[in-house]
Amino acid sequence: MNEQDLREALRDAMTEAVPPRPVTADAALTKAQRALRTRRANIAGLGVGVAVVALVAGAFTVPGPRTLLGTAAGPKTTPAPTSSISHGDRTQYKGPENDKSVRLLDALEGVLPYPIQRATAEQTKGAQFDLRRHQAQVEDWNKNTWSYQAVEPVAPASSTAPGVGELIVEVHGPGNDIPTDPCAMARDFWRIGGDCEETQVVGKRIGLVQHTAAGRIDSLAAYRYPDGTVVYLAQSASVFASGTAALSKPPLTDAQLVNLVLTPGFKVTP
Amino acid sequence: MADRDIAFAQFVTAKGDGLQRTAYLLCGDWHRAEDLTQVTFTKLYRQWPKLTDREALDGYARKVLVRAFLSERRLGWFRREHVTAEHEDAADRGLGQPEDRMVLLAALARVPKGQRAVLVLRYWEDMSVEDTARLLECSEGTVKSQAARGLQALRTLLDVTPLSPRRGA
Repeated sequence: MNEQDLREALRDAMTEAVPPRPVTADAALTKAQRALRTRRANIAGLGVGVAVVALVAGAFTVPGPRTLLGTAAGPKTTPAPTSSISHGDRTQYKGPENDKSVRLLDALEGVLPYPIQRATAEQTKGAQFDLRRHQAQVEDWNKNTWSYQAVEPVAPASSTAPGVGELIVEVHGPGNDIPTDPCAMARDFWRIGGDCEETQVVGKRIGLVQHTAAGRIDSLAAYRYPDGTVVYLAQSASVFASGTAALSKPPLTDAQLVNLVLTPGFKVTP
Repeated sequence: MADRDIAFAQFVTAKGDGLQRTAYLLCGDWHRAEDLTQVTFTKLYRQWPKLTDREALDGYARKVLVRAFLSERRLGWFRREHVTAEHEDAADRGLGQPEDRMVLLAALARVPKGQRAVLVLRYWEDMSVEDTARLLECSEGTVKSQAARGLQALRTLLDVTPLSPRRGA
């Protein structure tokens, strides 16, 4: 491959590439305005804090008339900045939302049906990154809506040979803009599409997607709670780009998938 | 809407798609590309009153985008993964089919960040060595060496003989 080859290959590759969510002027402007307001508020808050600290420090280092008379030196607290969330990074690495994703991962491990269990070191041999993961990230700064993900590498308990699949729970809190129709909702997961059928478990409508267009996921179930919380439970017989061997078939049956998506522990409390 | 906002919105409309595509080539993930593009626009909006030279706006936006990409602190876990088919399929293919294009983009996403930025600026944005060096604030020699290493890395990742003859085969 030479320079011209790469130039042409990039053109070819990007010609048919379509961003799933194209940039719109309204959204970009709204977010930029909000970020600017937050920045100004933070700077203002920081300025007040610095001024107060300076006053307090001054009161202790320079004996003014009031301190000489034994009166109070002034306020002793420093206001915190008005926001602790960076708009540059949507992931919360510690804090209450991150804790919810930790609990989500625990809940996922807690409902694994025998013989499926958390994969052992032998079964995940060759893994190039940590296969067991969780994450919380803000979806919309305006509405303060969050999504949570938990991934459990799994394999049959009886297997001693390398080979691992994965289960993924993804939860979107109330206020999300995911379609309400069960199949539209299910196909919206990572926008991977696939064949969908609507099914019911104890009267609850669930979308079940199989034969997805993406090789990363074999099948998934989706359920929307009355308050708008959407829970996805997805599975794959392999762990994408991990360097690990795959299972011979997906970890769960369809029936298990549609039943487990209703696990109460998966409903993250706002 | 204020004049500033109108001008900014017009700029986003005109350049948003291009910047998002460049961001995608840099990071290999549409969602991260969306974030990077928004970070770029947010920084541009903050500086907008000072950006009086509209001719230079494109270049400035690219610079902000690339710098935002290079300064990313860490990747969210599911953002580490790349949109691609299995990489093993790349060995005996050209780049004529959709899945092959995905393999190219996946391979590009595995090239070291700095080299990838040079490759994208030089061969996607068609920037000269001089302009690339100016944007990255490095020497022209560095741009040339990074481009050469990046191409070599791509060749290794794709594990292919030169593509052009096979595309026509």
